[in-house]
Amino acid sequence: MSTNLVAITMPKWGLSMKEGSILKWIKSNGDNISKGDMILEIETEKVVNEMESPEDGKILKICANEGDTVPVGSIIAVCGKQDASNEEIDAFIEEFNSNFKSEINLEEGEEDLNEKIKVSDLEINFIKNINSNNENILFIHGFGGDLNNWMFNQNELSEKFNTYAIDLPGHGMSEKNIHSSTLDDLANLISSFCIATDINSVNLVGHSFGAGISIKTASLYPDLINSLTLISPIGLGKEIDSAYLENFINAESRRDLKKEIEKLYFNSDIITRDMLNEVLKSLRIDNVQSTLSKIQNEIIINGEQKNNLIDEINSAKVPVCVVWGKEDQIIPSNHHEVLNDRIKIIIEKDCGHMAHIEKPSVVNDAINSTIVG
Amino acid sequence: MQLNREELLKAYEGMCLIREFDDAVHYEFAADAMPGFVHLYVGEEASAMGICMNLNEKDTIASTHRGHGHCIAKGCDVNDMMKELYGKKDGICGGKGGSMHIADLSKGMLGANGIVGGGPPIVLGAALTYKTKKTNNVSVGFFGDGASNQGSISESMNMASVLKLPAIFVCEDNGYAESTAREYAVGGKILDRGKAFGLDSHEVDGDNFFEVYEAAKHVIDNARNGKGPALLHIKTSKVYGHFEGDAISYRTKEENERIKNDEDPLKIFKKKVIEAGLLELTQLENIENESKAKIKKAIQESKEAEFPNANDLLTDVYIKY
Amino acid sequence: MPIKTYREAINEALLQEMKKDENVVVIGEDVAGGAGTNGEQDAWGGVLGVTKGLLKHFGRERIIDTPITETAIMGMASGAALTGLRPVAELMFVDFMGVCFDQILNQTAKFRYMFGGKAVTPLTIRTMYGGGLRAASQHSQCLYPMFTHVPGIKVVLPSNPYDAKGLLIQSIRDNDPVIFMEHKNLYDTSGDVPDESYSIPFGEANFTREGKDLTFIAMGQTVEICNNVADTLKKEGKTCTVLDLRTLSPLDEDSILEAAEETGKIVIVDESYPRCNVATDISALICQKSFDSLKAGIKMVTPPHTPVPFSPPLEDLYLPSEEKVLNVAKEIL
Ligand SMILES: Cc1ncc(C[n+]2csc(CCOP(=O)(O)OP(=O)(O)O)c2C)c(N)n1
Ligand SMILES: [Mg+2]
Repeated sequence: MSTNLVAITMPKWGLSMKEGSILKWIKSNGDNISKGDMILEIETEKVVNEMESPEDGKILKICANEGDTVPVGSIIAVCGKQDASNEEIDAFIEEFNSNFKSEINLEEGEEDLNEKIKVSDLEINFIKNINSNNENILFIHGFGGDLNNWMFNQNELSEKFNTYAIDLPGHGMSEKNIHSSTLDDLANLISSFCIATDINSVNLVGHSFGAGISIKTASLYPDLINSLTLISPIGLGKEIDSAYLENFINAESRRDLKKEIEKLYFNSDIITRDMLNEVLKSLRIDNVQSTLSKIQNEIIINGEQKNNLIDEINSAKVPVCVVWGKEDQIIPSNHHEVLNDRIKIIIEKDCGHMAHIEKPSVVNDAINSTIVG
Repeated sequence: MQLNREELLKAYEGMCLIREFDDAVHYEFAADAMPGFVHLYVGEEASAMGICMNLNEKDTIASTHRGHGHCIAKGCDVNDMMKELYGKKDGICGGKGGSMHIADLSKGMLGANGIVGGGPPIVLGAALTYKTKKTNNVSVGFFGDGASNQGSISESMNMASVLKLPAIFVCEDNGYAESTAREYAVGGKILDRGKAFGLDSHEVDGDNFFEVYEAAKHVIDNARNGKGPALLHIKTSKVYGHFEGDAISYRTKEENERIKNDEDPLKIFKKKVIEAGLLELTQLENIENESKAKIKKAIQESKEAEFPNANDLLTDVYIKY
Repeated sequence: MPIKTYREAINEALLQEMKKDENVVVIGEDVAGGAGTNGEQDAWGGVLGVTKGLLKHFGRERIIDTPITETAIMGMASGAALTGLRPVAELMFVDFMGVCFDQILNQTAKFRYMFGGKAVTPLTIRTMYGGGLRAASQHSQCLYPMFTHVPGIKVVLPSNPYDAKGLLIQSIRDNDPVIFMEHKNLYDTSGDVPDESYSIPFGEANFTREGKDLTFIAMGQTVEICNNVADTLKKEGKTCTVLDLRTLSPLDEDSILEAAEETGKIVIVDESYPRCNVATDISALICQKSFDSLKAGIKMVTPPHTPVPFSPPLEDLYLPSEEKVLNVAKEIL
């Protein structure tokens, strides 16, 4: 069999994704593609997103058409460095399919990967994926997010690293009642979480407010932290779209919320109603709004950022990488200018506040190289 | 006692047929052979027969959700009733009504009722017809102890009294409305409510056919003769639960046993007529066997009968869309 | 997330709100059961066991069994709401509204407006509706169009356990009279329901499927039918939007128009009688406000204009089914 051919398969975005639907092929049969090109749009239960090509080469045959829903891991196209005969391609597909076993058939029902653990008196929800690797990654989402924000990252990086993603207090499936939520408190919580889960050294990946928590943790617990990858961090300047936080907390309807969530992305087509519903489900739980208001008060004071973490980040003893969407509307990307040159800076164009969702491969590469060096 | 042998046999026949009918439904329902939900009359047979033996074909009754006994006592055909319970095309209402809506106007049966307290106001209307047309007929409205708390019952008794209608209100008090006891739900006395509206009101032992018959005869004769409405408060008890599938956890074992053994109107009737030498045991046993056979046949035929089909969906309406 | 049935979700909503607010009381026939008997006290917990278990938490002071007297139940609950309690009154089957409609229609629904805005009436009426149980003409109706017709009452039709809990909590917290309608066939359906209390605001319809070729508009039990048909059509390469109205009053006009405009082909599935029902009302709305977006005549799937028949085959023919909905959808696809 030819080694020229490679299968492009339905990706797994997030640990619970079982199948995806082909919304649109951006590339067609015969098109040349290079790694990182957007080749098609896929819809899952949670999001619609573009899939990046995993290979350089040429699309030789598309096997799943627009409108098809197929299990994760199944072949959706054949790609090759050179052309191949139809017989060769068909034989390749047949071979692939005979070896392919869908997870859907193997598993009975939905497996719930969420785990809960008591940390400093709070019940904290998290998902882990452990493969006895040397390095641990802990993902910390931003204000109003949850661990599902890492759906394009955690799974990818789990091949090489042990990964953990947590829901911060007041978010996702973690405890909704909290007393105090200063960055110090939350850094303590991260440290306690690591103790409770037997992590003695960890690479933090934080987004926005979660990036602030990461910086604070690295400064309070330097021995625990191996590296920091920070996406659109707070704490590096005064500007922030304070109305966003206020309106997010008080969004009553899908429509109100959509207006806010659109500010997070460069390309707001990514926002589905399901995605909004997931956020609303969380916002509508009793006490979530008041908890978020408390957290808001730790981020913003008089319309400006409350925390100044410039010294702490610049004096960190570990590798630090900052990824920022150039068109970030929540926290302006020019805040990176205060960073010293020990820190690696990636400013990504056509990208907003959510680089880990809009440009997952950039973020994943950044995390990888920050850890591996 | 004013009843002759033939009438006594008829009374027992009626009570046996009701008993067999509802006992059979009890088992059929438990075997999951019957759709919907059914309320059984077992234990209350003396009331339906004692009242209806005083009525002629032109007199009318309005029944309740627990209506099989009233229907049989008023002369509805048990085959057609059983087919209705199975939802068959030849059922007494073409399969459209089911247990709670059995009606046969040719027999003076104005309908069972799914609405508690729904029947007595209709009885007012029938009685108004008889009064207006001077036909000497009467109409009887059955309702339960639970239903006695509905405004419709009080309103009906008052109206009957005001218009002096030939209407008889029969409260079949079996002590419970669903799982709620009469002691809890009825304020004051049911009998006093009739009296308050000026009705000739009597309390009757519903386990004793003869007592029901006598009381009914008295008030029905009066009503026929223009002396106005009456209330009979019949104390009785039912063997099964509220509807089939009810676990009856609100009643004690002792109470269930007592109802079955000591308050069975058929046993009481049998004992009385035999002790008084009015009927022979074999006569009664023949009746029992005949009833069994009749109902067995009704069930078998009903099961074999055809269901209605798409063409039947849009019949009995004034417009088809 | 924990999986719960529709019945459990409703029970949990009542439990949590009663714990949170001592003004919440449950009033109805056999809502506990066993009153005045020598047997089990919490004998019924409602005809289909929805309120079972509440008695042991709150006692008969707050789980109030009543005589069979719907007018007095609705009147008492309205008056209590007007004067400081937050009652949840049960109308066992919605068909029985015939007995007590005055208290709903002319009393409670009118207080706020008629009294010049001075009154608040935080009343929730829980009731069962719908066909499929072979319960015949007086125990199978939908009747929600009749409530929807009346200004002053909010009308809520949860289609799944998650919505049932969140919408019931909202109903109880709401300061206007709400009729909360539970389809009998849904009680044993299950789905994800958070343990925490949460409320879903009224007037926000929910998209349960998204597609490009056709839009289903559904409510209560018909949502599940439309979801299944949408899934079937997806296998055939057609994608459908399904909009679950959730509340009929207030009605989410924006989402209805959004859903209609998404595909231009609309099938509305409504289990209530076909004249002056929700389907006719919504098709009128779409025609008035978004006529140009239509690519085909609006289709409705409803029962025929007759009472609900008892006989199982007749009732099956009577009710909207997946098969009927699929066929109608294919007519305009
Ligand atoms: C208007 C109305 N309310 C409630 C019901 C539900 N229901 C059916 S029978 C029943 C109890 C009736 O009790 P009772 O009148 O004592 O008659 P029984 O069942 O004891 O014969 C109830 C509450 C109903 N069918 N109609
Ligand atoms: Mg009773």
